[in-house]
Amino acid sequence: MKRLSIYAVIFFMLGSMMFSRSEQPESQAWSLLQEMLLIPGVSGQESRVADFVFSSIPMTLNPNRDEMENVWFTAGEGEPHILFVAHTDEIGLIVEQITQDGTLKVEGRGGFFPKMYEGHLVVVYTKKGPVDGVVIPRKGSFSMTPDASYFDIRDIEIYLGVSTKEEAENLEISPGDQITIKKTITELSPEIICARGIDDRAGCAVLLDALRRVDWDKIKGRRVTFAWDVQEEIGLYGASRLAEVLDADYVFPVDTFVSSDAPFDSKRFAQLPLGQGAVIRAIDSSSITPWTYIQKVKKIAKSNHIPVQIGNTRGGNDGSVFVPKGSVNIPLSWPGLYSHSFIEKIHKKDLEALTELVVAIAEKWEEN
Amino acid sequence: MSVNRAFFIISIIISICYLPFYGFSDMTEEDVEELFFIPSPTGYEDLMSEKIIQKFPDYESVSNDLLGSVYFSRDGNSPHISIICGMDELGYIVGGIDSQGTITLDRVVQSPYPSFDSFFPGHSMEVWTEKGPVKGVLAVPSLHIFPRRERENFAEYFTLEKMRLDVGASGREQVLEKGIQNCAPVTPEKKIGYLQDGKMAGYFIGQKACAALLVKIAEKVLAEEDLGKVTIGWLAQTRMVSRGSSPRACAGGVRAGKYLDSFENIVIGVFPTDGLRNEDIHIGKGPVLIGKWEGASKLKKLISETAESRNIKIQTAGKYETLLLNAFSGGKKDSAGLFIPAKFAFSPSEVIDFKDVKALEKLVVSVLSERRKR
Repeated sequence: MKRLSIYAVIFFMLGSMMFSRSEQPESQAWSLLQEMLLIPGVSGQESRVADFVFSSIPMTLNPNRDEMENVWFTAGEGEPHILFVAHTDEIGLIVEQITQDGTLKVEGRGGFFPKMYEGHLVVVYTKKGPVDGVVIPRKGSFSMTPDASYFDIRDIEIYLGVSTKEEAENLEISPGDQITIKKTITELSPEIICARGIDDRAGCAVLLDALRRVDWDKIKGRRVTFAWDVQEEIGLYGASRLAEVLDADYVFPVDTFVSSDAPFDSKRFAQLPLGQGAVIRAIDSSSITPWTYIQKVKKIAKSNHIPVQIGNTRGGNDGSVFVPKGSVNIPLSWPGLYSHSFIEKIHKKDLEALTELVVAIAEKWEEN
Repeated sequence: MSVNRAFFIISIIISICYLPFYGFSDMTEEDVEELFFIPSPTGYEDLMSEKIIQKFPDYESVSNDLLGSVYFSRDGNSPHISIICGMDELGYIVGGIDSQGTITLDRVVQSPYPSFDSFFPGHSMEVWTEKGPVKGVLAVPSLHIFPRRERENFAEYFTLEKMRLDVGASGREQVLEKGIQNCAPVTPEKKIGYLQDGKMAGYFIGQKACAALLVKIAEKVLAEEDLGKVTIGWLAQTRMVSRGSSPRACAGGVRAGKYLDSFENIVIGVFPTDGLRNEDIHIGKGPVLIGKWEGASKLKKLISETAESRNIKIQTAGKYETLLLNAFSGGKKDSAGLFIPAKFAFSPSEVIDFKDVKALEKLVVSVLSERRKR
């Protein structure tokens, strides 16, 4: 009888564990990411992404949206104030000028190797809708003595299939319209994809997924803000604006950790492999995370069985502009390969681990 | 029932019976698109070859030879004429797989210009295996951790020597599990662009338009009562030039030249309008007739006169050589090249004007018709 009771207790405990686990909604970060990757949002033209984000936040959370297209909401009351932020913009091109021949000259938004555009299909997003174009290959590219000079932004010229400026204008193309590579998602396996714009749609997807999973009733005696900001790639402008209005004590920018675990990158640092978990970014080009807080996040991860890695890399993050205001900056990431290319690479396990980490920090930051 | 009404109903019935049998319909962009997505690197044309044969399910006189070229033929009451195009595109093959699961690439045939390879790193590719296509990406350095002083020399990462294909595997075994093996064909991921005014852009889209055009012409030859004795050929390995002490140009073309006993031959191909050529040829201005007809070529003269009488705009270019055209030139053959003009030819986004393709379809069918009258 005693043994039976023990079995019954064990059975009940297992059952309740399973039940409590099933209460946590399944992660949708992976599918959200793939949906968001196809939305154009070159720096300064993030409204379509902002629309998506804003409409995904329950109105009960009182989302805000400013004139720059930053979107955020705050839950809870009191101190400390914890902010998670991801950026909605991506690197790309902007129409600078329509030539007399009906081709487009462009400006770059963000850092990248312009050479990767040469000879490839792009899409111009006009008021009327998307228009296909081709980045004209340099004549030297067809030469038997090839032009090995650096292919610069100034070399990018887009052919639309028209031959006059008037024809191009009739397509309602205007200076300032955004241009992206013709977007596709390359699935290397069910858990690995490559695409343009994983930096930082992955961060955006993590926050959207996390907001569904956080138990907002647990947010007591502190405030938690989720923000999706703009113009990170061209100078952290959206974050700078948010830093003026959000007095955060702790900032967790959610953005790419540029990993060197790829064929051409030096393995001297940043060699964090894909599929091994979320990343706590200790050092990058814009900030140093205090070691105390790295340990604190690591402890939360450990107690929640979330795989994490720690590394240093290059590149900046939105949290750095909050530091002069007194915030502690603790960047969270996933290991990303081929940064700022059309084939940025990410692993599903890392993305989901990152979502869990954000949820755990949002719910338990003070408890540790 | 009035005579008119009876005539109308009979016409409808005949049309319904007649059209499906021959499967003839006007050429559309979708016909080009259908073949565009089928890979056909030189020596690996089997999928394309199968697709073309499938287009004529009930017709016995369609077959492929041991090299993979496809021939359609129909007898008729005029001297034999062949209309041919290549069906191969440039591609790569798996050159090796290292212990990390990274794939190196090699080329099958020479590229048209030295910097051809430089277009693809940083973009998606497909490896064609027996298990189906496997997606991959050609690695590039990560911008943030790539030393600034080396960025100016970035072009050096865009050579065949430094191409590294990442298929998401972390070791050689995982690559093999995907069905990838040495010498498997690799092509750039196909993306098609629809530009303004009927222009289409894509990798080797001109070549695929040629193949689609010949499918339509074959359907027309079947649909018409008699357009003469016609052979239509989609040739494999037209870009193959064997090396060594006695190089043989255009394996597929030379072989077809011997196989086909036609005196007159129309070679269909792609004419680069810029970059490789400096002639005043443009897309959207009609197909390009290669070479002046003044001289011995009655076929070129007929093409030129037919274009004029049928009000089909054509452009003429001087001497222009392609491996396939050369394989059918000289000797006892009267051959003409009719080419689709293409901007940015042999780049990832070659541009053609579909109006040129339609004009070429009309011109070739008209020439066949005129030959019958002659």
